[in-house]
Amino acid sequence: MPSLPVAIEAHDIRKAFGATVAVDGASLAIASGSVHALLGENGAGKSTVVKLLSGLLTPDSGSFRLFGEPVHLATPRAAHKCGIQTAFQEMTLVRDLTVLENVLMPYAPANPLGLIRRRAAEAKVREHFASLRMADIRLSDEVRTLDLAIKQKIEIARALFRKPRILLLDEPTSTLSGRDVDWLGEIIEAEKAKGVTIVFISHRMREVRRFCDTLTILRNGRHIASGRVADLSETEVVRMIIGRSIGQTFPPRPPANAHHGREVLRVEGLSTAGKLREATLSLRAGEITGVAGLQGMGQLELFLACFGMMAPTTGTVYVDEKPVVIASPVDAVRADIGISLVPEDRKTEALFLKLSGKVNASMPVIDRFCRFGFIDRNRENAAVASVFRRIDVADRALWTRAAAFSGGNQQKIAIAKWLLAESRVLLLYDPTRGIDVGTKHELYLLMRAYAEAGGAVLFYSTEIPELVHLADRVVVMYQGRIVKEINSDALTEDAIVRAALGGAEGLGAAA
Amino acid sequence: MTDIAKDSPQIMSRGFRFPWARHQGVMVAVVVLIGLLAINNLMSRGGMSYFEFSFLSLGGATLAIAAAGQTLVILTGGFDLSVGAVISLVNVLLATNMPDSGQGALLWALIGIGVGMTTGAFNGFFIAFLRLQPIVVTLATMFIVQGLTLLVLDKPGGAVSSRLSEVLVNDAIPGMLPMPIVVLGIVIVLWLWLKNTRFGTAIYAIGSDMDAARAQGISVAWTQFLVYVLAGGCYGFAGVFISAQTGAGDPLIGNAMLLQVFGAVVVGGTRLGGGRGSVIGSIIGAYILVIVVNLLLVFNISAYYSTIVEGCILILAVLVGALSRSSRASERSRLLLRRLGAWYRGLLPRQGHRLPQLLPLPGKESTGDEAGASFLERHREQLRYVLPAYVCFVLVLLLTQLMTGRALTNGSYYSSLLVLSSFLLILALGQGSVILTGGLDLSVPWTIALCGILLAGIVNGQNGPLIWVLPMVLAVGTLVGLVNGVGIAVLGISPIVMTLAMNGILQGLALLYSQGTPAGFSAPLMRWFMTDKSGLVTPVVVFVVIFVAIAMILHTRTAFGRRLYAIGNGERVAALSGIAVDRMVILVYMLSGFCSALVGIMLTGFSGQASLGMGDEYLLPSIAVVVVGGTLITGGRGSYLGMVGGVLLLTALQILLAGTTLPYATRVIIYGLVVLAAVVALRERSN
Repeated sequence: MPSLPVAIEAHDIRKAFGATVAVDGASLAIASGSVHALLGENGAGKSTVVKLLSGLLTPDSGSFRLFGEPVHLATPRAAHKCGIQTAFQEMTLVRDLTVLENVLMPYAPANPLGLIRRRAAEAKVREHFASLRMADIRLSDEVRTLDLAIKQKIEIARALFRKPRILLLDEPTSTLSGRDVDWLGEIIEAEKAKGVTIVFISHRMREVRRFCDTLTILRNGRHIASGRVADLSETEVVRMIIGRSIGQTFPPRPPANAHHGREVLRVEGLSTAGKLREATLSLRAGEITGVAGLQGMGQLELFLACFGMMAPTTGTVYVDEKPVVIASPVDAVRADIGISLVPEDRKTEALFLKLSGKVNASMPVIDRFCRFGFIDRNRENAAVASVFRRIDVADRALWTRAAAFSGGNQQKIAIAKWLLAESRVLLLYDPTRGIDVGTKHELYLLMRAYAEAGGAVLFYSTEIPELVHLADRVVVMYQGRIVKEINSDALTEDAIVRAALGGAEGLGAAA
Repeated sequence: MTDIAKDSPQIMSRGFRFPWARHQGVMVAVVVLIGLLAINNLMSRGGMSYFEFSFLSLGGATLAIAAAGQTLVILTGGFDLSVGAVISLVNVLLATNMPDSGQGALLWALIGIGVGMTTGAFNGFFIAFLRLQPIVVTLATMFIVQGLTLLVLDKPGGAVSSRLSEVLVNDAIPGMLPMPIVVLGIVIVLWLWLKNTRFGTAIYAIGSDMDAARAQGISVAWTQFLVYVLAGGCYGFAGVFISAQTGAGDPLIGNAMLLQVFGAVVVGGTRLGGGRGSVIGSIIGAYILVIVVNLLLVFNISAYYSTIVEGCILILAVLVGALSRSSRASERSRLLLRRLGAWYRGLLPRQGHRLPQLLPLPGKESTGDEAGASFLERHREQLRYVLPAYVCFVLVLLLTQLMTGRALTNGSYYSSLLVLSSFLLILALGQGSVILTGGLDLSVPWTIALCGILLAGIVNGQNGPLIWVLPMVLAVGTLVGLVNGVGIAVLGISPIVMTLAMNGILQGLALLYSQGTPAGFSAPLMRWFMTDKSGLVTPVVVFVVIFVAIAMILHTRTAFGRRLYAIGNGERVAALSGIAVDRMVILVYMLSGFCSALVGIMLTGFSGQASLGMGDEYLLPSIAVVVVGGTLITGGRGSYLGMVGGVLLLTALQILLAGTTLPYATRVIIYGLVVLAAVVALRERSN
């Protein structure tokens, strides 16, 4: 191994977005021809490193060397020229173009008149797809009509089509299930045999063990450790990823048989036009209910339907054991319903980026601060300031626009909004995405405190350890259905992952 | 792995399926065109003659060529409002400059196309490289180009050499093939070539998903830039063509084409927002519009209906194009049914008689006092955007003082400043509120004109009827806003398209009501209100000061104001924060309609009578003052206080320019440049 030359060498890379430092002086070296895992929590800086290597972003400082040569990866084309190809996580296929056009873009072969040699190119792509056992994908189909998993496979196939020297796979397994993960394994092996260097970004230790030779761990944008996968134990890796031991990270959980309060929200047989199929779920006061599932298994629809943001096609919602129709978030926010949602995407769903933290926080309940139609600004200021102090947001947030804060503080403002509303049900959709370890810890404490005060929490996370250590019970979703309910005494990562991959024993035990 | 590949079913992927979904729009347009031709054929005795064929092909060619250019822009996700203005400019250039020789005709045809491409490059520079909003850039360009046009030729006149029409308009094969069809054939061939190049793929790719295209190595900026240049070239060629067709110059000839071009593009099945559609569809769409208007003639219907018909077709085409279960309109109707069902079964939240149950989180009580930050620190961001307008206003005041020697000390200067400002101060509330929510109201001009014409026509110089006419006219304006709002919020039509179509419809209504010549006079009371100088100040000044105070409170101290800003930061964020977005959007357009009506009334009072097109010169200023006042054209950031500064600045500038010998055309150009400068200077800082 040490005889191999270094394929990728990053030296003291730094990249900041406004107040958020995504990569903070990270250095790493990846041996040529190896399969290298890049590990870290959401927001640790993995995706930013991938984007820097792909030429989508340029570092504020620091430098890259590829095979010993210093490189400046200013554009995607520059990265392509260096032999780097990336299969991105948020897929970069263009919806309205065909599979063929997507694979060829922007290097489609053209004749002297500039016309694309479609037939010749099509034959080549078809042959390539066949060699990857993807011959059943029709090249003339528009990408919009395809499933997420198929799109992910095309994304990978396109990167391979260009014969990379370095292949970056950005969380390819987050949308692939059992058989497709095996497919990916074969591909990685074949490419490795050709001498391609592969960087594999993933959450799942299982796959890292299976596919990778070496690994690098990032935390809060910093390089924490590198080493051979075989030399590190699972607990060591987890400790390095989250920065402290599990026991220090999560607040103590009440015993499994603790008496929870009465039911506040129940859905029965809830289906939506999207992916949700006949979900039945009951939320009780004082309880944190976790939701697990691969991407796109109906969890988003479940959250949106509970909040009135998506219309169910069948099923009933009960609040305080009485049926009710929550037709829009306006209904959900009412003081006598009291449901709140912290949505997935802070920038487009949770925050008014151009408005101050105060205006953000008070927006859902601004009517409660109005007297004779006019806003009582003193009362509003006092109430918002009090909530901000409760969750340690700087007073500056009262008048500074939300865009000027780091990811962690932005998420706190998004949550402050719903603490101010004093709702009884808090729906949290992947709330720890892209925030630093310290803020995550604060959020865990806050969620537990909220539950102890009598609130009901529904909590979806892509970080399975969070669910294992924080939730009082976890429901697992697969293909739109709730396929398993796991109580805290049986909660393990393995149990969740198995059910989330559609494990046979999970299907039988539908909740 | 190759072993497995051998026995995998390759035959499946060989089967070529015609991509129906992709070409659905064009197919529908073809069917509609054939149907219309059939009707046209039935109506004209003895079927369609060659003469009629060549007449129709000529009538639609200019529109088809212009629409082809606009299609390129729309496919990339852009918008180009400068199309009509460029056509007018090329027309007057040719009418005043082209010599009567074959060579001269060719040279000036090329110059015409070159002028179009230059305008396109101007647009493209600001949009592609400075990343400004296409709408505001092309709107400013539109006014600048209109100003240039008026400088070249300020009234219909001039002549275009017949050499040009010999080449472009006559028959290619006498009695068989008219030349316009050949020209369009060439356009189609060029399009098919373009579409099948890498650049063609790039156009669709950036319109469909700009980030994905960029990630794959497509140069988004250069593609956009070239598309605006090509589109400009098309407009220039359309200008050449219309010159050949009419043989004369008319500085306003392109104005009516803006609505028609969008109609043709949308009818042709191109999706607003980009990624889907084709130039061929737009050419068919152009002919559909032309034949429909032609049918009006055949059925002997007044030509005043033509803009109404065009507006309605545009709205209908957008609705039909978006017709599906997932469209906004069907989603909203399902929501309504769901609400009604819930109400019937007593399942609405308010029918549940639950008690409010709030859950205050314990711990960490705060003292509640505001942190000790200074006023400057707390308002730094607002000041950064608001102050420039006021600073420039003071500079213009000083300049006026220097040039005229009497402004700062002269009471009547301030009085006339405020009277002239009053119209824009009111429009700024309506347009500004709409812009803050992320929309745009292009129906302002004809809402003003229709309301003014209605008022003058009904009161006809009497004070008595004012008591019911004033509320009625204000209600008409509000109703216009209501329709706009419903179209945008409930039916999901884009604000620009909806209000542009509405503007056309209102224009038709105003023409129908007045039969082309507005009659009547405003009431003496209104004249007193707007112009009386016997008191300390003109009455309208008192009114407008109160109006500004109320508007300020509305924006800063009410829940309505807060939600305005919220929606502009993103409809989805707003909806997820428990705001009834649809209701708010409708209310905002109603407010804008109300303000336009108020201005229509005041303008009529001010000048004593109403006229067609009296609102036209208020569209750009209404947007300009909002932008100059530091409001982001895409919404979400800004303030009425800033807009007031913008109004004062622009009005002071107008007074200063009016004192000089600069013609109206120059003023329009200056406004356009001021808007561009303001957008560049006050744009959002990117991270």
